[in-house]
Parts: sequence; structure tokens; C-alpha cells
Amino acid sequence: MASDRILDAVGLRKRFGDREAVNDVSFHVAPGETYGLLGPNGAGKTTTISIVTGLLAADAGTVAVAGQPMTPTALAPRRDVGLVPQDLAIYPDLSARENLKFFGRLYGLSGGTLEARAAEVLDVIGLADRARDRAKTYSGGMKRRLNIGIALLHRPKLLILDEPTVGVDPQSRNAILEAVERLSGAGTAVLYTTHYMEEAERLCDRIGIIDQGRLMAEGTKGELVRGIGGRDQLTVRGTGSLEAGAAALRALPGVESAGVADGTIQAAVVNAGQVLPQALAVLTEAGLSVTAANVEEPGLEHVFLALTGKALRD
Amino acid sequence: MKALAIALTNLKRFFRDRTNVFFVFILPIGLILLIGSTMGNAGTSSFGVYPGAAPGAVADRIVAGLEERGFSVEGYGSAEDVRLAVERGEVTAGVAVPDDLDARLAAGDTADIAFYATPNGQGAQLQSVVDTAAVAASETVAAVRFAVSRGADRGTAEGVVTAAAAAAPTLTVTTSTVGEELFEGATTYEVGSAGELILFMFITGLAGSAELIETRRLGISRRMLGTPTSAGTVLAGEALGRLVIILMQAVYIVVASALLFQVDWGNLLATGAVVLLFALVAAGASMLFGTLFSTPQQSSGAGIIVALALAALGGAMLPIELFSPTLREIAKVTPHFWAVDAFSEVLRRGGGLADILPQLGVLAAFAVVLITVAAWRMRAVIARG
Amino acid sequence: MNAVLTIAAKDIRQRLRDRSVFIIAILAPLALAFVFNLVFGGVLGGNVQLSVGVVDADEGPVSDGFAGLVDSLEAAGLLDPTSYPDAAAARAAVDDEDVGAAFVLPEGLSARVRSGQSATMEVIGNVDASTTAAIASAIAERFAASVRIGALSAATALGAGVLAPDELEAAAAEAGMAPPPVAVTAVETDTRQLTGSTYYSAGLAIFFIFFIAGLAITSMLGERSGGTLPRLIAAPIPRYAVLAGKALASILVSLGAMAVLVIGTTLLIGADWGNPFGVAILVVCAVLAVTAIMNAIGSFARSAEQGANLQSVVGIVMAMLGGSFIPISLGNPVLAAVARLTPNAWFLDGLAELQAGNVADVLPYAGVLLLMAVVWTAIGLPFMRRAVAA
Repeated sequence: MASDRILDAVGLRKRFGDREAVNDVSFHVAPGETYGLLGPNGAGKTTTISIVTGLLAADAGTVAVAGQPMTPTALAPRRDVGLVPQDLAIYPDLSARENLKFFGRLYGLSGGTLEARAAEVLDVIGLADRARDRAKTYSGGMKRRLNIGIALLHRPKLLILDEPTVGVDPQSRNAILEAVERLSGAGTAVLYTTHYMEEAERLCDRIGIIDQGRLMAEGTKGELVRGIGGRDQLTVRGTGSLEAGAAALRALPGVESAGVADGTIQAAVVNAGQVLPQALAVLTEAGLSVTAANVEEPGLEHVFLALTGKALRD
Repeated sequence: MKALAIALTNLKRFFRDRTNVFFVFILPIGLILLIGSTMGNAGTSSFGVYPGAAPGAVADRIVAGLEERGFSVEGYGSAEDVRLAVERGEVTAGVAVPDDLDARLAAGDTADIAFYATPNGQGAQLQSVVDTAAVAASETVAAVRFAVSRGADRGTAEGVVTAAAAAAPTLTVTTSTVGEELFEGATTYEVGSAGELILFMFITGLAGSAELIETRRLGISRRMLGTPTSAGTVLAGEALGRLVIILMQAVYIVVASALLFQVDWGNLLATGAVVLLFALVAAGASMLFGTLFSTPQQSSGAGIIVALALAALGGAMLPIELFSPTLREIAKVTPHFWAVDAFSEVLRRGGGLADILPQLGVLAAFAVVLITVAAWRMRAVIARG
Repeated sequence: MNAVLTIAAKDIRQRLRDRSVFIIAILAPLALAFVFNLVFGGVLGGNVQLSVGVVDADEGPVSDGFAGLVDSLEAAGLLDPTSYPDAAAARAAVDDEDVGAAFVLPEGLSARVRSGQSATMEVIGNVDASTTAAIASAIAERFAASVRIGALSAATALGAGVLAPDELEAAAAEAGMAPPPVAVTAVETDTRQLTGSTYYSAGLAIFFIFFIAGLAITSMLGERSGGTLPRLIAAPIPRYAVLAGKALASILVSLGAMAVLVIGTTLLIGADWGNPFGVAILVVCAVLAVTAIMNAIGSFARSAEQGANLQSVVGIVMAMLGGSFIPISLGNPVLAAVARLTPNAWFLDGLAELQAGNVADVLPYAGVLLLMAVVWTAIGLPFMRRAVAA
């Protein structure tokens, strides 16, 4: 049901001059779901986020957060959204605690609740012992953590992260990804934009592929891959005749091709999940003793390429 | 030459900021215009006068008497208006003649003219002037009353007084003046222009010290030091850049004031020497300033304050001749004093290069000291980053 | 409302941490007022007592009469007389500026007057002190007028047949000293002008306040460049809250700075701002006007830096034209009219009126300042709204 959705965006359009930044984009985020908007720079991700968070008014289309319509002036839906902007949105001349308490107040927190939440967030983002130092003294990674922390203070139903790992060192990036995993694990809905395929694959339940303002396709990774006719990769190690095993596999419906390479059997399979049990049976019948079987879905890179004719990363 | 290249870059960056154009070109001329036209009106004493509702002969003579003595007279519609004008400083002093002045005198009474002046101004001393005018205007009345007091018949006395007045001897007051005219032949614009030139050169210098900090902050200086460029060249480049901007403004002010306000800058060689040396002083001060602060806002803010203060103390705002003796001595500590002094010599007394050698010497000394200290500090600060 | 206060509090906290606010709004005006007062202090005030030289080569009744006049003026505190032996000495004294002017009563003066002949006395002035010379002349002429009155009165009495010729001289002396029929009485006045240290303090204070009053809009532009603006817009607060909060912050900071300046200049350089209520009314209205102007100006700009530059230019121009640095020439109608467009002029004039001690006198000036605040807010509002948009 539409009203179950934490975020429901329908038919969004936004034009800047003669450029269509967002062109008929529709998607939704279910409660507790992590939805990724995947696309290259300039695809329209940030503009879409701006519309969703009420920063910009769309030329056409509607946005609702937990059933409440979002507009540039609506207050209620904003209470349920936590925004982590791409550029650091913290005050360098205030301390982490001061930053948190300031924004907390804007979200209606006060008194004991505000103090408690601030302390909680400081612990979660690991800045409790530097809480009183001015933010400009923090390392880049610490600033990023504060950037995220601010968005968590009011326990939003929907957390929106706009390309949070751009220009971030690997350690901090990992910390951020882990943090998001924990949050979604705890039941927060997350809208995550990125142009990094690995992040989308790792974090997101569903992914929307966006390019040049248009939502090209959306779904789980599996759905997307299958949508372009991508094949899962089945890799089998074993003792016995690999050739025989490959031949046996080829005979199975759902196996497009199978061959031997690098001492393993490599097969291109449609929906490995379904085919795997039959494959194992057939291989055993062929006299192979399977020591390892690995299924890999094709990457989103392939999906993007197929859909747009361009590489995801330039 | 690398130093030249650095200087040119400085110049380019300077003019890219359009407000710099305002501060360098428009503001100085605007201020000279403002001060010149304001000073023109200062120093003239004026009377605000309410001559009475229907002034009679004596009342008229009193007012005329003020004008005859060289004071300007402003008319007002009531005594209250005169008083307010005096209180607000619109006129130096005020006079309100009672409506019935002539009537009272004719009836044999005395009359009172109200005199207004603010408690602590020059106005109080003008009471004598009004006194004299009143006495002179009513002399025949006084004479008749005296005769009557000695027993004369009023009609007889009045008949005699006119002839007596014509024949009575007058004690004439002659005035002579001594002393050199302070600002002989100088227009109000000329008096101020030299001082304002000095003021602005220093402001541009100190305010521009922010540029050095910006350069430092952007790490450019350090980068420059990293290239095969000696620290000396970098410093020379920075100093040269600052110097060029200050000189450019100075030349502009001299030319513009000459064209717009007919200011005569006298012996050009001498004027040029003063300008060049003071520009060096300002450039040195600018460099030194840039090493004392860490943000451009602090530096340019403090710079403007110091520039204004030094200009005031050194006689660039108010002519040094009007200073008390103590302040005059204090002023000598500032380079501004010496530059203004040199300009006085050139502009007002028609001096040439030879006449201002001592002042030029002092300015040169200031420049050398400032630049040396600045260079020493800059080396340390830039290397430290 | 809460959001407005929260944002204002944050902005104030940031302002206070920024040392340049202290430098610009407090240190600078105090320091400059001190220096200006030191250097220019004596000039605006003006001396009351005139030092004069007197050369009495006559030593007769006429010069005695003059001496009497000088004594009475000395007693009234208007003259500070010194005697000189001859005209040359007096001339030298005037040239050296030991005295402001000198009176020379020549030998034989009394004899000539007694015999009914015209005579002269001389006033020596310095070419650079024309007002002093004029005042000295006025004193001499007052004396000359009384000499003439004496002679005229005696001659009239003689002509009217009530005086004998040998009584002439005594009668002339008596008549000359008699109170004239038209007397001049000094009326007590208040002053409605700012003088000396008060003038510099007020002029510089209102000038420097310009630079911190405009911080609302520049800090708004700063939020944009600092990246925090999207967070503010995404927060559940009314649209106007951000700008309103910042405006409130800058007004409060400005008022605080002005308070420090008023108290500081009063304590440190003896400025006399006048009745505290009157001062408070004018300060509040002036701060509102200046805030409105600066924020409107800043909102025309696209970046914080451009905004700050524009504000500097406007601040300085208004200070120059409005009399913050030098008193506006009332004699020049064009300049006086232009000055009316600046809040500086109305603030300083209001304070000047207040010197007379009546708080109600400042109300018209406060009213104009409030009007300026309203007008400039209206002018700037559409641009400021644009600045709040992402």
C-alpha cells in the first residue's frame, strides 16, 4: 500500500533552464528498506534528493514521506527525515556537542531528551571524547561521522545519505558503510545515493539506476541483472573429470554455457539459485566429486552498461 | 625578472576585486571633495537674528550694524527659532530684538536685546559686537536722555542732537595684521590634499597587507620558496607588488586633484620624491603588518585603524599648525609628520628638492628600517607557513 | 519562534568566538575615538578666553576708561590682558602668538578727544586668527562708541543749554559710562550639539556598527558556502526562521557592542552621551536602520565575500556623507540634503538634540530611523528570500 511506504515519489520532474535534471522519476522506499540510487555524476541524484527533502520544488510530481506530502514549506514530513548531505554540513567553529544540540533543537528536541540523545549519538559515532573540541580540529573522517550523527539525532524514519563516501579515505569509508548497515539492520529506512557499484551491492535491498535524469530500471540486484538478461556465474571445483562435468551441465536447462578454465568448471547459468541443486546432482552423476561451488551474480556495472551504453565510472 | 612576475600577479589579483577599485580610486577623491567643500564654510562667524515683528529705526540700525562689522546675518521668525539655531550650531550666536524696541525707547524706557550663545563656543565673545551695535544704534536716544537728566527740555535736546551727532568726534579703530598667512594663497582643497594623499597611501598599504596573508594561507609563498627562487626574490616581489599599487594610487590622486580641484603640487621633482619615499615606507609597513596577523580580516581591520590613527597623530588630517606643542612633538614619531612637513615646504612655500632633504632623509630611514624588519619577519613566517 | 531563537543563539555564539567582531566593533572605535579626541579635541571646543595685549601710551582719562572696560571683561572671564611698553613689543607679541590681539592707545589720545578732535586707536591682529581680530575690534569699537556717546551727550546737553563748557569733560566721562538705553542681556541656552569626545565617539560608533550589522546576510551566504544551508532548509522549521534568527542575532550583537561603546567612551574619554533613555531609544532605532540597510545591500550580492565588500563601500560612503568623520557642513545645502539619506546623520543629530536634556526631543529622529529600517527591509526582502533558497 502506498501509505505503508516511508517514501513515495511519483512522476518527479525538474528543469534548470533547458536542461531536464530530473525527468519523470518515480520510486518508493518501504519501511526498513535500504534503497540505492545508483548513477554517474550529473545523473540527477542530488537534484532528486533535494526534491525529496523539500529543498527544491519539483516542476511536477509528488513526494510523500510516511504519507505526508513533502513541499518546500511542509514541516511535518521533515520531522521524519534525516539528511546527510554530500558536502559536510557542520559548523567548524562549534564543537560536536554544540552542533548536535543546535540541530536537535531545530528538530524539536529539548532539555533532558536532547542531552540524552546527543550523548547517545556521540557514542555511536565515536566522538564522545572529542565532543567539546571545535569541529575544525577534527580529522576528515571525524567530520564525516559528525555529519552523519547529526542526521540520527531525532531518530528519523528515513535516513537519506547523498554520496557519503566521495573523497573519503578507505578506513572512514568502511566505517560509514558499517554504520549504515547497522542502522538499516535496526529498522531505519535508508535512501542511499552513490556512483560506487560495490556500495550499492553491499548495502541496498533495492536499487534504482538513474542516468541523465531518468530512472532506467529498478529492483533487487538479482532482478536488475536478470532484467538485462544477465547470467549468474557458477564456478565449481572438484576432483574427477571436469570436462565430463561441464558437458553434463551443458545439458541442463537453464545452463547457457559451461566450460573448464583455470582448473575449475565455469558455467553461465540463468537463476543459479534454482539451478544449483540440479547442477550438483548432475555433476555427482557425472562422476565429479565437488569440493567447492560458487555462484556469482553479474555486477551492476554490466547492468548499467547494458541500460545506458556507458560505463558507470568514467 | 621573477620579482617583477610576482609583482604583476599581485597587481592582477588586486584589480580583480572590484571593491579595491572603489577604495583606491573613488574614495580618495570623494573624501577630498567632501573635506574641501566642508572646510570652506568653517570659521565664518554668523549671527541668527530675530529683528522684531515690525522693526523700527533703532532695531534696523542694530541689525545693519552687525552686517557692517563683517558678520553674516541669518534672519529667523521668532526668538525661539534663533535660540534653537544657536543651540544646534547653525549660527555662531543669536540676537532677538523685542517687538516693541523703538516704542519703548520713545516712551523713555530701556529695552533689552536677548543674546544667545552656547556655553562653550566662540559665540560668547560675540556679545561685545552686539553691544557695540546696540550702543551705536541708540546713541542719539542716549544723548537726549542725558541732556534731559541734566534738566534740558526734551524738544530742545532733540533739536540739537542731530547737529551735535554730525559734529561729534569719532574715535576710530584701525586694524592692522601681522604674521605670515598660514595658508597663504592656498585653497581649502590644497590644504587638505597633501594630508589626504598621505592618509590614503598608508591605508592602501596597510589594508593591502591582507593580500600577503592570503598568499601565505594559500601556501603560495611556500610554494614559491620551494621553487628555485630565493627568499629574497619572493620578498622583493611581494614588496614590489605592494609598492606599485600604492604608487599608482598616489599618482592618480595627484593628477585627479590637480585636474578636478586645481590643486597645485608645486615642484614636481620634489613632490615625486616625497611620494616615492613615503610609498616605500607604506609598502614596508604593509609587509610588516602582514606578518603580524593570521587572518586577512584581522589584518585589514587593524590596518585601517592604525592607518587612521597614525594619520591623525601625524598631522595628515588636521593641519599640524593647529596642534598643541606637546602633540606636535609626539607627531614627529610618525613618518606621516615628515611627509606632511615636506609637502608643506613644497606646496605652500614653493620649495624644491634641496629644501626637503632632511625630511626625505627621515622618510628614507623609516623605509629602510620597516622593510628590513619586515623582510626578517617574513622569512621566518613564510618558511614556517 | 523557538527556531528563530535557536538560530539566533547559535549565530551569536559563533560571532562571539570570532575575534574580528571585537576588533571591529569595540577595539577599533574606542581606539580611534581616543586618538581623534586627543588630536582634534581642542579644536572643536573653541577657547572662551581671549588673551590680549594692551599698550597705553596715552595715560589719560580715555585710556583709563579703556582700562576700566578691559578690567570688567577680565572679571567676566572673557579677556586675559597683558601690558606692553610700546606698539613694537605688542606687535611682536601678536606675531609670536603670545597674545591673540593687541590694543594700542597712542600718545595724546585723551588730549585730542578732550579738544573735540577725532582720534584713532589701533587693534593689531594676527592674519591667521581673523575671528579673534574681529572680536578685539569689536571690543575696541564698543569703547570707541562709548567715548563718542560721552562726547555727543555732553555736546547735546551743552547745546540744550544745561551744561557749562568747563563741565564738558566730566559730563562726557559720566555719559560715556552710563548704561545705554538698549542693553544686551545674555540668555541661558542649552546646547544641541555634540562636541569633542562625544562627537567622535558617536560618529565612530555608528560607523563601525555598520560592519557588524550586516552579518546576518553574509552569514546566510556563509551557510550556503559552508554547506550547512541544506540542513537548515531540510529541518522542520518555518522558511523565515533562518533569516529572522540571523537578523535577531546581528541586532543583539550590535546592541551589545553599542552598549560597550557608550559606556567605554564615557569612562575612558569623557564622552557625554546624555540622558540614558534618550540614548537607548536612538541606539535601538539606529541599529535597526543600519541592520536593514546592510542586510539589503548584502542580499544583492552572490557570495559572502562580495557581500562584505559591498557593505564596506556603503558603510564608508554613508559615514562620510552622514557626518561620522567630519561634521556635515550645514552651509552647503546639497551636502546637507544628501546627509539626510544616511542613518548616521539622523543618529548624530538626535544625540545632539538630546544634549539639551529633553528625551522627547529625540523622538522625531528615532522615528525617521525606524522608517528607514522599514523601507530598507522592504527593499531587501525579495533578495533576501532568494538568498534563503537552495
